[in-house]
Amino acid sequence: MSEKKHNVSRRQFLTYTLTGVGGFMAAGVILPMARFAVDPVLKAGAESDMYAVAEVADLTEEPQRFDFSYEQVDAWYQSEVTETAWIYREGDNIVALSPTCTHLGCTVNWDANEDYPDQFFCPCHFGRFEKDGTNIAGTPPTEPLHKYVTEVRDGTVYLGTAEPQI
Amino acid sequence: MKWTADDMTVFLREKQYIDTLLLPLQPVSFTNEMKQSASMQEFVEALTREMEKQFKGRVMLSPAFPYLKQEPVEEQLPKIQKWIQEAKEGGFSHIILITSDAGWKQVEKSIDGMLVWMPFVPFENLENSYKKQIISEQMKQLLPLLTMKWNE
Ligand code: FES
Repeated sequence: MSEKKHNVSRRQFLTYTLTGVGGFMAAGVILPMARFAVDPVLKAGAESDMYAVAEVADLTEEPQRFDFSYEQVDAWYQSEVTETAWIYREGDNIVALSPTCTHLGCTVNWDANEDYPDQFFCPCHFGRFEKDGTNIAGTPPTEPLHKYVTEVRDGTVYLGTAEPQI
Repeated sequence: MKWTADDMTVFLREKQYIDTLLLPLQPVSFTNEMKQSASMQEFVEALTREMEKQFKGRVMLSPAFPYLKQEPVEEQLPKIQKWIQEAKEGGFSHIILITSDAGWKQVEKSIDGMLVWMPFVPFENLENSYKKQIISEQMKQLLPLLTMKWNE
């Protein structure tokens, strides 16, 4: 095979490769800067809104599951996300817990395992939590379930962001 | 875990807990069955997204394995076996293949992993709330399958 038949000569190949590498390096320089530029905006966007999730009249002392949805905009899409909260009443107090296991993020369920009634149970690595969200020693999670910021207005429960209990 | 750099960082750190690979099998057609291919993709994508959400801490959602619908499934077998083998080398002890293409059922026995076949529901013209309802119904069927697999 003679060299002349190749469409890309050695010199061209070198040029292409070098430009490619150069391009990479330029990206390396620009990306961190872009990150600085974008970050504060993202934070402002994360401002917490409150969402109407349940009626106080429907709450019991037993945690119940409530789903709520809202629009979320990430880098590319605007999408509808659905979140879940386990909500119960304790006297006048309303507790709303996030179902996200604090171990690695699976979804926990209340009273889901016969062997462990009245606890939150995580099917992934059998993490368990008390009713108030406290993680049970000896199971993988190392902190309690996160708790939603709650607010009651006219008999309706509004939830904000889920925050760590410790 | 999703197939993103962020989740991959968690995966590399917590590998011993994330032992299940969810691998969608996606038929592709550019001719007669194009629309069906799209419907299947839409359905399986929604379903696997939900599974990932529920089982984030134990399941890694792989990019789909695409193949031409026209070609017989048997021809895909050697390739899919290679994917499975590499996934095992990578440390996944449970490999779950999920698809709406019924063709795979005929070769199920030759596959070294669990095949979950879900007949697809066309999402065309459906309202979002209705789509969600469908997916959560399907999830109810999938949940016991997964826990069963983990308890094996
Ligand atoms: S993700 Fe819940 S116990 Fe591991």
